[in-house]
Formats: sequence, C-alpha cells, structure tokens
Amino acid sequence: MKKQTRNILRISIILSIVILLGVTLWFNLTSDSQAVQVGDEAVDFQLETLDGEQIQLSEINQEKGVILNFWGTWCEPCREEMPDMNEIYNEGNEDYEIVAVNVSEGNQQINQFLSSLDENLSFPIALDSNRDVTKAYQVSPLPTTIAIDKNGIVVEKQEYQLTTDDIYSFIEQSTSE
Amino acid sequence: MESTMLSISNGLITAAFFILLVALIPLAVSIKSKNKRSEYIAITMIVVAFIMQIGYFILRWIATGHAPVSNMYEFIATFSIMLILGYLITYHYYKSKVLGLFAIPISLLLIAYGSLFSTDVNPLIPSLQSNWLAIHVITVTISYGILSMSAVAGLIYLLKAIPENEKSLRARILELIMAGIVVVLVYIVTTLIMQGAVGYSDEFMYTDQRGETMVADYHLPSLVNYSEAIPVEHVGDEQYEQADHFHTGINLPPVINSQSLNTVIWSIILGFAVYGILRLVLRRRLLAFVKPLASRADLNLMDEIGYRSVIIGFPLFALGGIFFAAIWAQIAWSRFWGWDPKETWAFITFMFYTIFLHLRLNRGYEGEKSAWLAVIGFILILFNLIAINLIVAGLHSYA
Amino acid sequence: MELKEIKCGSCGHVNPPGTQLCQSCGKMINSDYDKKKIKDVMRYDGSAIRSKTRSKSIFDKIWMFFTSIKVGVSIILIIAVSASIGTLFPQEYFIPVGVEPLQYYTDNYGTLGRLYYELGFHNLYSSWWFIILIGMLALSLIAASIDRGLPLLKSLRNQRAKKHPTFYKRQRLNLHQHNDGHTESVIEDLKKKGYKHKSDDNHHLLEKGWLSRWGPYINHTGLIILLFGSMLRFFPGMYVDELVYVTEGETVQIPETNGQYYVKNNDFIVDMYDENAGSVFDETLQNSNEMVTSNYQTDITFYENQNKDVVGSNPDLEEVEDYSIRVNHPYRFDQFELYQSSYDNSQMKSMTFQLEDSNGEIIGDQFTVNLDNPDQSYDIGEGMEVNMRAYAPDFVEIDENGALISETPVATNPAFVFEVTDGESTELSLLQVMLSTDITQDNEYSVKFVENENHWATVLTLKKDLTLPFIATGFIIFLIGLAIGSYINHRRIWINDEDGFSISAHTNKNYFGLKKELNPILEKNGYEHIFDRDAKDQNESVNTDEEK
Repeated sequence: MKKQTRNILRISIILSIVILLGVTLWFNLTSDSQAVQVGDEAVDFQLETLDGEQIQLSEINQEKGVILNFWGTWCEPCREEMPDMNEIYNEGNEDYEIVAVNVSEGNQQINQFLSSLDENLSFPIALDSNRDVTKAYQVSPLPTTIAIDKNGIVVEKQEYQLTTDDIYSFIEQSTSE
Repeated sequence: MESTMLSISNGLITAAFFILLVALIPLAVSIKSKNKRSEYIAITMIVVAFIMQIGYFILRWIATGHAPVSNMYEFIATFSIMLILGYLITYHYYKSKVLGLFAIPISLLLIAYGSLFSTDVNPLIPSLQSNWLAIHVITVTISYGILSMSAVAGLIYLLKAIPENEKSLRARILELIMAGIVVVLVYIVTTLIMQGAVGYSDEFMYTDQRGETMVADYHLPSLVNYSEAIPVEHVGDEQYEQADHFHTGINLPPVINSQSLNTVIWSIILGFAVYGILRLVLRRRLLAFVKPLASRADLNLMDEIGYRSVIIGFPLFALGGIFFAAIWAQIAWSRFWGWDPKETWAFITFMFYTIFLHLRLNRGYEGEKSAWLAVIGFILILFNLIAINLIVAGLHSYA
Repeated sequence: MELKEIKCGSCGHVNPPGTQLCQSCGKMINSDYDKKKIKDVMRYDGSAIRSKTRSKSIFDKIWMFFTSIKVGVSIILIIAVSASIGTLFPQEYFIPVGVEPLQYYTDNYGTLGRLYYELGFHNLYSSWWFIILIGMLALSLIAASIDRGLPLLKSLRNQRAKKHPTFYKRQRLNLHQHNDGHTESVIEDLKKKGYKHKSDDNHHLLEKGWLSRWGPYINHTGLIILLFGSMLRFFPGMYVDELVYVTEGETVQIPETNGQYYVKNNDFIVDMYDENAGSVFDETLQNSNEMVTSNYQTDITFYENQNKDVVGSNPDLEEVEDYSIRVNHPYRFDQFELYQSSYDNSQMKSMTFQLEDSNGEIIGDQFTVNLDNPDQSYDIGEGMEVNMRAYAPDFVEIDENGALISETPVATNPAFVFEVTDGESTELSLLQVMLSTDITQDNEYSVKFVENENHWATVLTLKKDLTLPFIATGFIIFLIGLAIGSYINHRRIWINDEDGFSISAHTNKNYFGLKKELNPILEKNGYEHIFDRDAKDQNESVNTDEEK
C-alpha cells in the first residue's frame, strides 16, 4: 500500500476510535443528570386542581411568574412551609402565582391535611396523582420548589424546606424582568 | 404411560453407567496388548451405552413434554452423555483408545455428581417454557462435549510428559489436579453416605434474598450457615420447632448458598484427608500412580486432538452458548445480555478459548503449553456449571 | 527512509519491503526477519506482515502497538479478568429495587462490599475504564486485521504455480520421488477431491478452501460491527429499559413515548401447577414446599392517546388492541416491546371491618375501607354509622394537634380514627394494625378488623433497543467467519516433475486431515506417503494405533 494511503488509513481509524470512545464516555457520564436545572425551559403541563378547575402552566405564565411547589401530606417540611407560603401569598400576588403540585395523593388525605390548618390555602393545589408532572420535572426529594420567570425559564430551584426569606427570594426571582 | 417411560428411561441411564464402567476393562486390555478384538468389544460396549443414554434422553423428553435439560441433574446428565459423544467422534477420526480410558471415567464421575441432585422431573416454570430451552442447552452441551476432549487429551499429555518425581511447579499443579479429582470423588461418596445411608439431616430456618422464609436441610454438620439462621426440627406440615443442631456460628449473607458452600468446604477437608492417606499409602505422588495409564499415548496425537477439539467445539460454543442463549434471553427476559454471573462466565470461557486459539495459531503455543490451556478451559466450564449455579444464587441458577 | 523493495534473485519479481518468501516463486529472499515473532514463515505466506518505516509518527507508534497479537491477547485477558470481578457481588441492577446501593453493599458484604461500591465495581460493565478496554479491543481488531489481511490478500490472490525448489523443501509436507510418470494421474485424483488446478509448464498448483483464510478477517469484522452496536447503546434514543408498574384495573402512561401510549391492566393471572393433576410431575410437586408457577400473564388493553399535547392533561384514549403478555411472549408496538417481568401482591388495597358491641355481638354490616381513596362515612345499618375522622396510610405518630402523621403516602401501616355514632352519642377509637385504642372513655362499641385485600400489580419491562440489529448482524457475521475459518481448511499442493516427482503441501490447519486426503492418492499412484517433518514416527500409516 502506498505510504500516503496507509497513513491516512491509520490516522483516520485511530482518530475515529478515540472520538467515538470520547462521545460514548461523555454520554455515559451525562446520562444520569437529566433533571430540570436552572436555565432550562420549564415543561408545560396541565392538571386538575382540588377545586375541579383545569390549570395550565403556560396560560398562567403568560402574565405572571410561577412558583411550583411539589409537596405531599406525609412530608413534614412541606407541611411546615405551607402556612408561611400562604401568609406571604396573601400579602399580594398580582405578578406571580404559586401552584402547589401535590404528588400522588388522593383527595381524602389532602382534605384531611387542609382541615388541620388554621387558615384555608389561597393558592391553587394541583393534583398530580399519576406523578406525570413530577416525573417530567425529575423531582426527587420533597419539598422541591421551582421558580419560573415570565419567559418560561427556570430561574431558581430548591430541594429542601423554604424559610420566609427563601419565599421572598423566589417571588422576586420569578417576577424580575 | 408416562411413568412407565420414566422408569425405563431411568433404567437405561443406570444400565449405561455400568456398561461404560465395565467397558474400561477391554479398553485397557486393548491398549496394553494391542488386541484388536478387545478394542472392538470396548467400542461396541461404549456405543451401546451411548445409545441407551440417548434412549434415556428421548424417553424422558416424551414423558415430561420438555427437553430433559431443565434442572441440575438433567443438565449434568446431558453434559456427561455429550462427553461420551465427544469421545466417540474423536475415536472415529483418530482411533485413540487412551483418550477413552480417561474420558469415560470423567464422564461417569460427572454423572455421579449430577445424581446427587434431585433426579425428579419438574414441570417448567414460565421462563423455561420455550423451544429455545432445548436449542440452547443441547447445542451448548454438545460443544462442551467436544471442547472437553481437548482437556482430556491435555491431561493425558501432561501425565505422560511431566516426570513423576520432578520438583517443579508444573508437577505440583498436576498433582493438585489429581488431588482435586480425589476431592470430587470424596464429595460424591460423602454425600451419598450422609444423605442416603446415614440420613443425617439438620434443618435450619432462614430468610432468603427475596425475604421469603426458607428451610435448609443440611446433610453435613454446619460449618457455615445463613445469616440469622435458626436450627429447627420439622414437626408437622408447615410446622417447625426450634432445635439444637451443631453449628459454628459462622453466618453468611443469603446471596451465597451457604448449604452448598458448607458441602464444598467439607468436601475439601475430607478430600484432602483422603488424599493425604493415599499419599502415605502409595508413598509417591498420585500422578505417578496414574501415569502408567497414559504411557502409551502419542504426544503428537494428543496435541492434535487437543487442538482439533477446540477448533471444532469453539464455534459450536459461540453458537449455542452465546448466540442461542442471547436470543432466548431477549425473548424471555427482554435483554439479550445482562452480565449476570452465568452469562459473564460464559463470556470469560469464550474469551479464554479465543486466547487459546490465538496463542496456538499466532504464537506457536503447542504441546505442553496448549495442554495446560486446554485443562484450564475445562475448569472454567466446570466453574460455570457448579460454582455459579450453586454458590451464587440468582436468576440463572436453576441449571 | 523506507526499507527497500526486494528483487528476487531467482525469478526477478519485485517484492514489497520485508517480504520473506518471494511472492512469485517462493524462494527465501529475506532471512532477516524476527524469527521469534514469525515462527512459521508460511503463516502469512511469507508476506511482510508489518511494514517498517523509520519516521514513526505517534499514530504509527499507536498503530504498531495495536497490531501486536501479544497486545491483543493481553487486552482480551484483562477484559476477561475484569468481567469476572463483576460477578463477585451482584451488580447494581440486580439488587432489590428501591434499596440504597451503598447501604446494600455495606450491609450484605461488609468492608469488602463497601470497597466494591467505592471503586464503582457495582456498575463495572458501563464504567469508563471497561469502555476504554473495549475500545482498545476494537482498535486491536482493526489494526491487526488490516496489517495482516491486506498483505495476505495480495500474496494469495495472484499465486504462481511455479515455485523454487527451496520452497518445496521448506514446506512441512514434502516428498521427492524419482519416477514421475504418474503426475497427471495424481493431479486428476486431486481434482476429483475438489482441488482447483493451475499450471505453469510442468509446475502445478492445486488449491481448495481458499475461503478459509478469510474466516478470521470476516469474524473480526463481525466483532467490530458488534462492538460498534454496543457503543451505540449509550447514545440517546437508541436504548430504553424501564419498568412499568400497573395495578389491576389501572391504566398508566407508558414512559419514553411522550404520552402517546397507555396500557391498562385488565387482569393479572398467576397459574400454579396442580400437584394432583395426574401427571408425572405430581410426586415432585407434592414433595416440594413451594408452589411452582406455571404461568404469569397480564391481560392488557393497549391504547393510543389522540390528545398527547401537554404533560398531565387528560388523555383521549383510543383502544388499539387487547393482548396477553406472558413470559417469552412480549407485546410489540412501534420500536418497543413490553415484557412480563414480575408482579407485586404486597401493597394493601382495602381493609374490611365490623362493629361489635360490648358482648361481642356483631352490629350491622361489615364495611370496607379503600386505602387509596377512602370514603368518609359508612352506613352499616341498624341505625349505626361509622365515620372515618382521620387516616394515615403509613402511620408513625400522633402530632400535638391530635392529627395522625404518616411517613409515606403508601399504605403499608394504616391507622384510622373511627367515630361510631347512633345519631345521638359518638365514640372515638384509634385503630392501628393489631392494636385498637379507645379515645373516648368507656366505649360501648368496638371496631374490629375482619380482613384485608392486597392489590395485584404487574411489573412489565419496557424495552427499545435500536442497537439490536447491529449487534445481531455483527455476531452472525462473526459466527459465519468463525465457521469458515474453523471448519474449512485452505489446502495447497504444489507438484512439479522437472526432476523426478516433487510434491509439497501446505494447509492453514489440520495437517492430519490433509495427509489423510493426500496419502491414499499417492499410495494409489505408487508413491510413498508424503514426508511430514513434524511427525515423530514416519512410518505411521494414517489409521494407525497411536500407541507404541
């Protein structure tokens, strides 16, 4: 074989293998981290609320920033942060909406929890009984709170309990231009 | 009707066992005296025994409705039959009698080991209900039978080529192999005695990997046991009472089949004890005692057989042991390859024979080197059969 | 500066650098080759298996390294040993679902188990170093095959029948006899055995099984395709392996299909073998402690969603078809398959209670509480009503407000506060598993547990594997190449009657068979058996006793 052909052959084969290996390793490493991160576009969804209404993220998001709070009645920090969220929400919420996405529970448990609270919750409670939205957002620990700005971009994410400062911070982030 | 067939089938394989055992006599005579007539008698007997074994196979298939390869006993029986087939094929081409002198006892030892397992017929669990059971297992056992001939030829080669009193690593390892065979023999005999004659039976209750409560019936005093196992006595239908059985308190996680491991440990202890006695009585190495049987072998021929068996058997192993197995796994378990212990060790066996062929063809590894490799290959096959099935409990471990 | 091409002194043919035997006449033209590496000069027909250049770029160095058989065998060995390590403890995907891996390995295998986990051995077969080893194997396969295959092709393609006498002498099988009258006859007999004949004056080449030489290169190609296919598995979209859990009666969305498909579990069936069926298996079954399953089956209805637009929205399901998924019989749709994997009968579905008075008499009807979405009140007749005031599916404690706290939403340890009322007075009691506590004082009535029912859920495996065609094709090509290389032999016989009858023969494997084929022909034509310089006993006939 001519020297030139041989060189081209050798170089291209070696390079192909190295590149393919590199790509494979890269896919292998990144396959696990697919959760929705800050900077990603928020996945649109539609769920029924406890009141029987349908809410759709994109509709709300047209006018307002949205704070998604994934919660469950068995989750103690979720229970604890709810009253704080409600109080701050009641101070005024023209620019943002809180959607409390309940993960997998039936009405009985949710109503049981709500009746134990001192006040009624003013923000909508969306029922994700199939965990479709929870899975779409790759939510793992509860509570997980995600702030989405008016452009539909995730601007903040927290995977533990919110303090009142946290709540204000989330509101600010979701409503900022 | 079926149970009659089963009885005949069992009778056939038992008769075949004894015919093969007896056939060793004319075979040995024909080697020593080069008597054509003895050779003819020996080979005829072997062929007759083989036909009877095929009869066992077919009748059992008809009686149970599925290929008789679905549990440990059936698989080992089939493997040992294929060893005889491997020998007959090799004899047809190479007319080697010495090979038979070693291959037949190994086949008999194997089926004796197999008969320690439950010889009952079992109905097939869902994942085994497929034509691929027969296709995969029969092809792989045929390939094992052929590949094993290379190990037998290799063993004969080593026995002849290695001087009996040589103080070398290779002599020591060969002697270790001889000791290993003694251990296996002792294990078989011990189990037959303890389980059959003595009827030793200590039961222990434990929780297995899946959280189920199980009862293990120990036929040897417990040296190792399952974690948190409780010695019990069977008092009724499902009733067990706490009892006081001997156990050392060494407990292992349930993923290891402690009962089998216990038997293995006992076998090694007793086996080496017997080996020690034999050494004292014979006053020389076991290999020296066995060597004369191999003295008539032609080293070149053994080398040739060792190589040819691999060249013929390896593609069959790739076909049956890897390809057919993968097809079946895909259909039954949705994944053609899952790196489970059995599949992984089949892969290792495959890679090993690849190395064998490359070293032989490209690096000139012939003669003694090749013989050693052939023996190692067989040990890998046995490891996959025995250790993986018994000690590592898992999805694949029913056969 | 390259090594020069070599011109054969005997026939004048110009050979590539490094060639040992002249491509044309077979004379040894270059004895300056590495005799340790090339033990049998006929293995590649005397062609140069590696061209040498002085200016070695890094690519050349890498290439040369991977063409070595020693390197290839070492890689195979390392892969085999590594693979065995993965069988020491179960891989992560074999441990029970939902268990934390570090916990599992440490609990079950102690420090060794922990080390196993830390080193990543619990995911050995997709670890970066294993992948790199496989990549090296691929490179080795390619480099070694090209380096040997192409020169071999060149030298085998245009073979000349005329070979130098030293070539004859060099072959393992060689014979020279004085009487040459039977050359034609020998050639004819060989042709009858399938040999192709080529001649040049009174030099002859008889050849068959040429295909056999290509066996290894074909099987290597198959392996490369297979490795390529398995690499693709890591690429997104090529491979899906998910579990789909469907409780009886439920319809769930199938993952990875963007909400396009749904499956409903109409019925999950487990059949057991009857130990009194009158079959040959009766005795075995009666002796066994466990029931043996004969069949697992999920009767499904498969749906397509006409309205798959937004996550969480109500689907508009159109029924596609019904099917019974059994082991060995998966359901196929699109590029997916649904396999029967296992089942779960451990989740509680409902609990049934009855009311008793202080004498133990049963009051009214039994009532059943659905644990997934329980009703608030139960009218049990006889003027009595039971109201469920509180419920915790996985009861752990009571908080300061008297509410029942649950640890998870899964009904594994249900607890209830029941209020029993006859319209006038009410009593309260707390019911947990195996424990009933009165809340109000001096209760006349008590709520007693009767029975519970568990859910039946099937666990299906959703599988999509677009790499399968590559892997299957690759392995099939490998098997074909392996068969060609192993079961066919390339046999060449050179004959000339320049000076008496000269014959020599070569095969890539199975000299035994070649001799067996050749010797009867020689014998028939009055010649001796061919001399095999590697055989110990030259007088042995083919069907000899090997024993002395």
